[in-house]
Amino acid sequence: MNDNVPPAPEQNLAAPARLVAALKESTQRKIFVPPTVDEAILKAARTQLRPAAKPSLRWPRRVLWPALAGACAIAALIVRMLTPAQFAPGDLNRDGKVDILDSFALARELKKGNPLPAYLDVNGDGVVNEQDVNSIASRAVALGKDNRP
Amino acid sequence: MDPERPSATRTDLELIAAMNSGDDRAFEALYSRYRDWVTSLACRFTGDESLALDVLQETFLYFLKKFPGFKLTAEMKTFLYPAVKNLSISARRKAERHQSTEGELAVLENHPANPTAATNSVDLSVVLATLSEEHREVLLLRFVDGLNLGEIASALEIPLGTVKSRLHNALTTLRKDPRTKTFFE
Repeated sequence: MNDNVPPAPEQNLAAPARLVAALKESTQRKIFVPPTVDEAILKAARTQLRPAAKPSLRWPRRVLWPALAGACAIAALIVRMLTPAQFAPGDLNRDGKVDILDSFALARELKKGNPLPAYLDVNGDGVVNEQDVNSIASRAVALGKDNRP
Repeated sequence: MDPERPSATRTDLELIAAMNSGDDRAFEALYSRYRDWVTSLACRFTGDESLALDVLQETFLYFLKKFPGFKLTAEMKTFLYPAVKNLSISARRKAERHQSTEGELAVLENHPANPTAATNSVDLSVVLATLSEEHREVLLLRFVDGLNLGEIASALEIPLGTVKSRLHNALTTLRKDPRTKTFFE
């Protein structure tokens, strides 16, 4: 029969009570479910629904202290790596002193034409250029004079 | 939700929420609520009590595997029906691999469900067997399983209009057949 006909009015979709009773009688069977079937299903439910055991947070003492010490060492190393080192302005090569080598390094970087970080603005005029090279050189010479015995 | 309330009085949604929290007593309540319906439905599809019991187990194991995290978005029967149907068809195919499996609901053609029923029930079974599988399925879901039209549409994943048409056609057939027209008089 064609199912593409316009939907029937709701009242035409009701069935007499006698028919409903006969349909139930004709098609519904009361089936005995053995207790073993019930138990198998309920056992599966207990297994499936049981919350997963939480992992123990207690560590054996012989592992705990070395682990803590290792963690502290790693933390200290990370902090040291992340903390910017305090170098004097113009100390480009980060060797702890401002000398002519730093002015040479800055001159080379300027020649390459690459953008340069603001901390290389040694004279504080807002740009990194040849004047900073001169500033570093002057400072290196001055430091050299001051340090001369 | 009151955890002290007896499981039997809690709604399906409340029981499922409890199951998601690991409450296996909630499952017991749901299982006892739908066990006989699932078994009866499986028997309708398979025509065999032993296969129906297998389907019962497989249906609830399939249901349990949805936990935790299961969300019921329809009526429980609407959710269970496709599982029971598919598992029944699969079980029947396995059992009858050597035989023809023409029509998954053909059990009604050969196995009047209740041989001790009155004659008009036997006649009804015969007339039901003349309906197409689709029409018979909608008729039984509506009047035997008690699903409303929307739930049937969800369970069968067909439009509501198709459900109405199939039900109308099935009732028209029963109304016209001389063996069943007395039900309408």
